[in-house]
Amino acid sequence: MTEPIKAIETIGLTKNYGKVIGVNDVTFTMAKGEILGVLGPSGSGKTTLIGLLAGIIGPSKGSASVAGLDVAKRAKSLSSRIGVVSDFVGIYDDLSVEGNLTFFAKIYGMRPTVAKERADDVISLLELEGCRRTLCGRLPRGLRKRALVAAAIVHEPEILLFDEPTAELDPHAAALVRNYALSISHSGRSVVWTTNVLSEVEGMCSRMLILASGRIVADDNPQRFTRGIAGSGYVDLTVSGIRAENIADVLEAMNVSWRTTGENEIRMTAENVSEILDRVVTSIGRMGGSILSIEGKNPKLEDAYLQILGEVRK
Amino acid sequence: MRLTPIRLAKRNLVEGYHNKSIYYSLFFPVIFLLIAMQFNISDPYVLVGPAFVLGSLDDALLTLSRERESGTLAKLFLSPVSRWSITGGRVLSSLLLGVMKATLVLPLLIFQMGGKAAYLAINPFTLITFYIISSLTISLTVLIGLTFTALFRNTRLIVLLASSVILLLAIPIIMPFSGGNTNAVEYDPFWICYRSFGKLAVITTFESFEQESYWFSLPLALNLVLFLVANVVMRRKIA
Repeated sequence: MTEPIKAIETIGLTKNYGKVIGVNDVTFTMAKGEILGVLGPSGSGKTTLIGLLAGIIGPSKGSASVAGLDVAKRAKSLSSRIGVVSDFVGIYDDLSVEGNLTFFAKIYGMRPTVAKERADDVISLLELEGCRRTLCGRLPRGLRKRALVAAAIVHEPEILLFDEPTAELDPHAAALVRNYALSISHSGRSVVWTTNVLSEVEGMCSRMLILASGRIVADDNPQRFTRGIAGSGYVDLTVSGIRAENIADVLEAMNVSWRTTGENEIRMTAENVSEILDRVVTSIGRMGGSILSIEGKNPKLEDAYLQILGEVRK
Repeated sequence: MRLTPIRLAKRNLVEGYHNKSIYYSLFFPVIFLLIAMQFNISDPYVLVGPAFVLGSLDDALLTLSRERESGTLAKLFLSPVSRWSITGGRVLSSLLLGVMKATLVLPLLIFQMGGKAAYLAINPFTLITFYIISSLTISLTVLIGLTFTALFRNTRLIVLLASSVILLLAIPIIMPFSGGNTNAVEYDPFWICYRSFGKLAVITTFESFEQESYWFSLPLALNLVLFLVANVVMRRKIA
C-alpha cells in the first residue's frame, strides 16, 4: 500500500453545539511536511477544529482523514500517529514530569526501558531537566504547558495537532517548541499550529488558514496573503540635488514601480522594497543627489488579518 | 498492550493514594460497621453490603469525572488504549480496592458482629464467597457511577443522579429486615448481594457453595450489562 501524500484532508467538516456553530463547512488539504498555521479570533473554531481532527469531537457533518485514516472510525493506528496539545488534553497532577512521560510512553506500547529513554530524550529536548521529578500539579503554568507538549510528542507522532502550544510559555520555551515543530517538518512530519501570535505564522508556517465564525475566510501563504490584502510595501523618498524624475531610469531597471508625489518626492512600490532600498540610495548618491528623508511602510500580516476580519464582520 | 487495564488500574490506585481518597474508600466500611455495631439491629449482617456501597461512592462518582475535568481521560482516549481497557482498568482498580476493604472488614465479621461472635467461619468456601459477593457489590456500585459519568459531563449532575440511583437501590432494601414487604425488592441486585452476606455462615463446603451460587447470577449479569453499557455510552458521549 502506498503512503498517502496528504497528511490531512477535510471535506465539509461541520460541528454544531446546538445552535452554536463550532466549525462550518471546513474543507482543506494539508501536505506532508507542511506547517499549517490556523488563525482566528476567540470562538472562531480553532480548538474545535483540533478536536475534530484528533477524533475527540465527533463531527455533525462532513469528514476528516488524518494520515490517510478516517477520523470518524477512530482507528487505533491513528492514535499513535498523532500528538495533540490542547486545553482538553491533560496530564496527571500527581505524577512527576518524568512519571507522566514514562506512563504515556508505556500506554503507547513502548517497553519500560524504551519508554524511559524516550522520556529522557523529550525532557532534554524541552529543557525540563530541572523539574523532571516535580509533580505536575506543582509546576508553574509555563512549565506545565511544556510538560503537556512533552507528553504529546513522547511517542514521536507523525502529525502534530498543536492548539496554541506557546500560550503561557516564556519566550525561550516558546522558541524551543517552535524549533521542534520546524525540525520535525523538515523530516517530513506535519504540524497544525493554531495561534493568536501572528509572528509565529509569519515565521514558521508555509501556509495558513484564517477562521472566522467557524468558516475558512483565508487559505494562503502568509506572505502572499499579506500582499494580496494589505498591498505591497512602499517607501517615500525626498531627494535634493536632483529631480525626482531623474531617478526613474534607475528604478525601472530594478522593476520598482514609482510615482512622483512632489517636485523632489517619489513613492516607490515593490514587493521587496526594503531589500532594494540600499541600491536605490547608492544610485542616487552616484547621480550627485542626496536623500533628505525616507519614510516607508511594509505590509504586515496583522494589517491584512485585521482587514479581512473587518470585512467578514461587515 | 495486554497489560493496559492493569496499568490503568495501578494508575487509578496510585492517584487515589496521592489525593487521599483511598483512605475514605478503605476505612469507611470499617468505621460504618463499628458504629452500626453500637445499635441493637436484629440482623446486622445486612449492613455489610451498604458499608461497601457507601465506601465505593468516591470511586463510582468522582474518579472518572476528575479525570475528565483534568483532561487525562481525553489523553487516554487519544492514545491507542481501547475504551474496554479504560473501563476495565477502572473496574479492576475498584475490585482491588474492594479486596482490601473486604480484608479490613473480615476481622469484624469473624470476631464480632453485632455481638454475635464467630459469624464468619474461617473456611475457604465462606471466604471465597465473601470476596465474590463483596466484589460484585462494589463493582455494581462503580459501574452505575461509570455509566452516569459517561452519559453526562456535569459533575454535579453525575453525583446527584448516580448517587440517587445507587442509594435508592442500595439503602431502602434494608427495610424488609425491619418487617417490611420483601416482594418489591426481590430482584434488586444489591438486595440479593446483601442476602448472600447473610448466608455466608452456611457456605462451608463446595456443595453448599454450588447450591448458593445462583445468588450471584443476577448481580453478575447486571455487572456485565452495565460494563457493556458504560463502554458503549462512553464511546459515543465522551467527546
